[in-house]
Amino acid sequence: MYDERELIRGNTPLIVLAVLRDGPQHGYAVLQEINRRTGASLTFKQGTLYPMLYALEDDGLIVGQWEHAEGERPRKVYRITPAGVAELEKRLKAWETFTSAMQRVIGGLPDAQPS
Amino acid sequence: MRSPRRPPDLSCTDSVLNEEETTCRQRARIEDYLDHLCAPLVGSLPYARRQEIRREAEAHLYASIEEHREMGLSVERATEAALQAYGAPYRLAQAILDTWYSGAGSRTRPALYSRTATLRAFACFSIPTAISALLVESYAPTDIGLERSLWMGLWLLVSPLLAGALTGRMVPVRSAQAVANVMLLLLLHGTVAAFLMLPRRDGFYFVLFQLLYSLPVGALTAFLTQVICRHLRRTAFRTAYAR
Repeated sequence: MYDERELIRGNTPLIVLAVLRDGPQHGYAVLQEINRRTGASLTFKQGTLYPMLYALEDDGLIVGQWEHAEGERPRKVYRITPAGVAELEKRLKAWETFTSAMQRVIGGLPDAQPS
Repeated sequence: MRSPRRPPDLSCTDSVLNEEETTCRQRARIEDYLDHLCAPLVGSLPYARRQEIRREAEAHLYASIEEHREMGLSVERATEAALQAYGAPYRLAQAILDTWYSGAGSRTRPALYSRTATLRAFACFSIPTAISALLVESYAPTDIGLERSLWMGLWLLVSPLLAGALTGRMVPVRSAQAVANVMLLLLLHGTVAAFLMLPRRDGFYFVLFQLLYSLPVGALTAFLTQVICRHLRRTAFRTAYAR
């Protein structure tokens, strides 16, 4: 059966890296930005973002740093690394190839010319 | 087995709660949630890492509560909405554990865990195996009578089950793998001992018994206990917060 969550889960690294490319954010702000960009059409449990952030951090694609602002709770702010930017480019290219192929399969685009 | 923890009492005894009381209850509810999030990580993630995860989740939840409050919800409703949006703590903890042991970032981390898990499994299996080996070595060649033979057979059959269950309880992830590691080590040791016992073949029969019974049964019991422990944790949380 079709499960939208699987699709989201598989692409969460791409989504997170794309958001962080535009500037450092803490976890909650990353979610808000995803909601803003998608009109809250991507629904997933907010907590599931963090294991993904930890995995990206472990891979060296993002780095997290605690920031202590006056009168606010300390927050861990994540920044994309050069390796993360390279990974994002790679994933974007793969995503474009995939979506273009899917468009052709389901009839949105003309067939590709054989190389 | 521990009884499920009771959730903090959120029912209102007075018709009007002052702000301080409400904040206190909200705090208790969040702390309880964070406890449930971090408890499954104990024994797997270092304390500092667990604290970091806890602080980050806490910051997120309070930010989310703030947003819900701005939408006009009461403190209690905003708290519940934020917790629900964050997700079930036992499921998130499992996702964090999966990430932790996936070995994506650190190659040393899974190895370190594997070492600890194997040591725990060794603690559970080495003593029963040593007792079994001593029993075989002492009594196998002699006629010990039916009753003693039955007790010895019972011990040989039950000890891997007990050791496996204990390992499953002590090793939250990959317990069967830890048992396999330990049993292979003990089999190697047993084989050397069996050669030393030659021309008696009891040692080899014992090694064969360990290979064909103790290893699979111990590993399976450890795995099942691990699954049951995880299930009990989830059920305890669901029961505590069932509405």
